[in-house]
Amino acid sequence: MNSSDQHTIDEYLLNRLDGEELKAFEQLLAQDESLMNEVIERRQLLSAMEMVGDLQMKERVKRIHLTEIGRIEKPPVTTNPRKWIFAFVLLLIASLAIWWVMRPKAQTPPQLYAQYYQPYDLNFGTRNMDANQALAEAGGLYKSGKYAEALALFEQALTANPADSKARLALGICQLELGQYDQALAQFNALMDANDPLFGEQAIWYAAMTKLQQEDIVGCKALLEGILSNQEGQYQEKAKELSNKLQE
Amino acid sequence: MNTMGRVPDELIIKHLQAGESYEVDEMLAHLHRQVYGMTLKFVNKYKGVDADAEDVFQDALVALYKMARQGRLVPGTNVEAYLFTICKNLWFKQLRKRRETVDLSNEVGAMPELDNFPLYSLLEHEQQDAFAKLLKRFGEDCQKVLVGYYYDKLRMTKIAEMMGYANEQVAKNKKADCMKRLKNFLAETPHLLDALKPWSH
Repeated sequence: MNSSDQHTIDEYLLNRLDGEELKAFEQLLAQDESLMNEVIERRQLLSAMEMVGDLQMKERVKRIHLTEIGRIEKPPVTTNPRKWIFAFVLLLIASLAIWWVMRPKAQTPPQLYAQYYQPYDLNFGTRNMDANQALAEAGGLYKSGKYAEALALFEQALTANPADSKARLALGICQLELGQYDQALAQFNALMDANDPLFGEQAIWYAAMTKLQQEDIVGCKALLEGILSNQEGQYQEKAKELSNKLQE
Repeated sequence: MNTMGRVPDELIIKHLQAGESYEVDEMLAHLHRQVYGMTLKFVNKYKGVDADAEDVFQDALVALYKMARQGRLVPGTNVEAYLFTICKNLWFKQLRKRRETVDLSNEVGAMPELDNFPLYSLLEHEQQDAFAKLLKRFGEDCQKVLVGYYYDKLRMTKIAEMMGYANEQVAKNKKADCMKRLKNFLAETPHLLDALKPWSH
């Protein structure tokens, strides 16, 4: 019996034959005992298939039941590496964002200048009133912040005595205060070049301040290095601190 | 019975008879929402625990589906009431099997169909295990072709389409091959045929 004959038996058992087709099959069935036996056997197989179908249907219904009562089993936690990579990247981004918000903010040169600069405290004594009359007056003006007026007097004093390193430092600071940076640097450089024993380090510091005010970070740092190379200078601590801040 | 959002009986019967998976599942889920609660109460009331109610209800849904596919759900049937009656009858059978004595005379309506109705859950455990083994021995394709044709009552053209076969004849040949395997399996397990005899004539 080929697959088409078997299929006809199946169709008969599933009540799908009708009209002439059904009539012809039933006539054949009445005459052919082997066909009848085949139909009986086939019916048993169909009953078995009913059970197999029930079994599958029951699994399907069970899933519906679990869904409906809200007990649908959650899929097992997978160890999908892509999930972990995604989580890691997310964590990294979050950490960077937090660091960015919380990080110590780098200060701008003007902010650093405002923090570190202050005019050097210079005293011009009056022991020799005749010789230092102009300097004493300039010193008074300097202390009271009248830099333009003090500047003219310091220039006069230096014309009279170019070796007065104190007056030169004061002149440089007045020029720095007045925004005359190049002139100020010229005064400080002169003191540095002369390796002035009294105001050499101050000259470097104020030259560094001038560079900072000019926002010349490289120049400023180079000058600070000069201070740091001298282990015993009074500007050591400030120079180190400022230098670190300029690195950020 | 929950009357909120009730689907008309005609529509439920139509979808169950058509046998399309998605619609069938939708209808069964709807019936679950409507009838499971009272089945649970009923089973709990008569010596059953929640797990018993779950088993009974799932078996009842299977039975209902089969009845629909066999054309036993006629237009005008109150499907929810019918399903609940199946549940009650199944639980009644279960209690008898357990030799429990409860008076269900006021509860269980007449439903003679179930007495001669082939249902996997009515088999003995040993027979159920044998069919579970049989299902495992079938390949996935055989399961789909045979269950689709004999159980879901799908046409061979539909099965060929579903399985991606070139034509109906390929599907018929596959069915014949799978049935041969089923026949061989049953020859190895004659006790299964005995279990099927009440439903094979």
